[in-house]
Amino acid sequence: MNGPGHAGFVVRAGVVETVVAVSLIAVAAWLWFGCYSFDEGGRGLMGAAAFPRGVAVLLGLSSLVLGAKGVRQMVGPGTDPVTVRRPSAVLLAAVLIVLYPLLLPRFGFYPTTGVWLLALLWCAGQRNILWALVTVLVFLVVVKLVFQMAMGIPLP
Amino acid sequence: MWHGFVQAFSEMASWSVARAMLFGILAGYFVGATPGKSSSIGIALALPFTFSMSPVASVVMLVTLYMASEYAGAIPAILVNTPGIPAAAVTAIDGYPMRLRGEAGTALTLSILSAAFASTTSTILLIFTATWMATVALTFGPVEYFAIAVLGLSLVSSLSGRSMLASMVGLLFGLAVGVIGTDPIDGVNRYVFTDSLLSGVEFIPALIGLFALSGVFVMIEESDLAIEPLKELPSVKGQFGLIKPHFWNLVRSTLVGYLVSIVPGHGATISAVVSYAVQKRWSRNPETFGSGNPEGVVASEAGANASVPAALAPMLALGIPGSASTAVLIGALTLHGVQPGPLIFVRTPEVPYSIFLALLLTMPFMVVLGLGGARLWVKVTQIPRPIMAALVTALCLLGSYAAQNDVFAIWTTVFFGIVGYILKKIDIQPAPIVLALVLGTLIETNFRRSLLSATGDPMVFLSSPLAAVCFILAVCVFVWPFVRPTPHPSGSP
Repeated sequence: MNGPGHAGFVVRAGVVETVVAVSLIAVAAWLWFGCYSFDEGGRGLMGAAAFPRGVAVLLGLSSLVLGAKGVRQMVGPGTDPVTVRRPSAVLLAAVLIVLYPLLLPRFGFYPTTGVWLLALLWCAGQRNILWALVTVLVFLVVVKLVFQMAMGIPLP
Repeated sequence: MWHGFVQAFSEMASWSVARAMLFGILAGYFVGATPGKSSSIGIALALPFTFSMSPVASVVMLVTLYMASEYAGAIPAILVNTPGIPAAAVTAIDGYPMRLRGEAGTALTLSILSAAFASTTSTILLIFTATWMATVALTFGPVEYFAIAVLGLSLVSSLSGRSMLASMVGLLFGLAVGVIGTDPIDGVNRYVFTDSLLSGVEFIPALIGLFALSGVFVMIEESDLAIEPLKELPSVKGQFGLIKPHFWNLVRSTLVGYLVSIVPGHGATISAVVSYAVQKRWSRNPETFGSGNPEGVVASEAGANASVPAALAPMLALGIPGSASTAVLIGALTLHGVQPGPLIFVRTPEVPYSIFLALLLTMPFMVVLGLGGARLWVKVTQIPRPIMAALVTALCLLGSYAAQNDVFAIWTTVFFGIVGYILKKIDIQPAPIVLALVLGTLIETNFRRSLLSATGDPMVFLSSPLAAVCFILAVCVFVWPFVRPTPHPSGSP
């Protein structure tokens, strides 16, 4: 994991803007072409496809402008860079967060959350194992008392 | 009116009503401070406890719970950037940066005092204007609703950070997400690739992802940095002094929140967004909104809490819900044999006047709890960053699951958390996306209903004077940030 002295992962803002713009253009295209599956035709602005098509056009156009701005920044003089401090910790946290809903239905709430929270604490920089265990234990007890017993929320 | 108050007071002067009020306040605090629980869920959960109570005791309990939960949502929003209720997401925009500066106590104090002022003022307005204003709102058709929603959407220019383009992209992304689900008019499925999306992308899990989970990644980035030391919170007398510079902001935001919420369907979230945007317009330092300006906390809390009594106006006077929470309240009243509507003031006057009294009497207790609690709650900010980051993540995922009792809600939160984090890196903030999620369905439904009622004639949108005024206002509101004079660098006028 990166320490305090590390600058982290640095990338030009134009690159991120271009990637986001391309992704949003893909979303706009998905909206536009997806309309054909439910467009009944002949109803114009009153139909179910009118609003999504309008949003698709506007989203596509504004994303194009964002993309053009990003490309201009990439080839032009430098602007504020995008910095991600402790990139490996952030990436590992993202992986753990994506894993949680995958593991939850398979192993149940308490075992999954116990192990997962310990891993997340380590990833976030908590190296004192005793404190980490106490944190996990307190969290699970509070969840049991508040969410499950007081509120009656059925946990998987 | 006075006869109604006397009757209500005699009904309320009992231990059973006092107990119900206390339970309502505590349960409301608990529900509001728990991410993923809206006030409507809290009222629904408390409903079975009222079966053995009198109509007055039960309505007092549920109304105080509603009021307390609308305030308490600000506590986790300020402390851990996780809105307890959707409206508190607006409070988090400036409340959380204040907490990062070590000013959590000030932010919490401002939030409770703003809530107290707005709620009390709004209740007085409710007492005197309920019937008249709700009758006006009843005359609104789809054209007027569409125009009001467009006016709301034009506020994106006020919510923009450094870049208007980024905000527009965020807004359109929010509208794109909002079209997923069953079409509100024809009932056809749009972009539904799993049954969990039939009712659309759920609002609370999306909100938790955009605001809270995206912030967790930032917490992990900064988890090796030292914690900002707490700034000294003044004495209780001094705490009251913190709100003095914000008096006109309070008045303005309360009125805006009240007027917005009296229109059925416009709940606390829209009130908070509009009040925040209006205050940003009036502020001498609009550029500091989003980075911990106390004016933002005051405006959003006043707007959101003014909406509680305002949403009760159409419920009491017309029997139609002003918000999701009042829809549940109507169900609760019906269970007790009380029919909301114009005749409630004639047949069971003790019920509406008990509500008025409960709203007024609850507030002092809430202020005491809020001011005292601020000293206790701020200790949370001294928890080491890694522990805080992990706990907030777990709370986010658990909160979104609790909102739907469905693992798919967690996927929604994860998606919006990661997307929100990436978008923030290029200054696309969550607020415009949330604005679009709130208003998207309202706009589309009323746009198409208007056209259907006029057999497709687009001139229908200019047929209503109120709608025309709203459209003109929307253009002015949208254009204003481009033409307003640049503020002085020092922030002075």
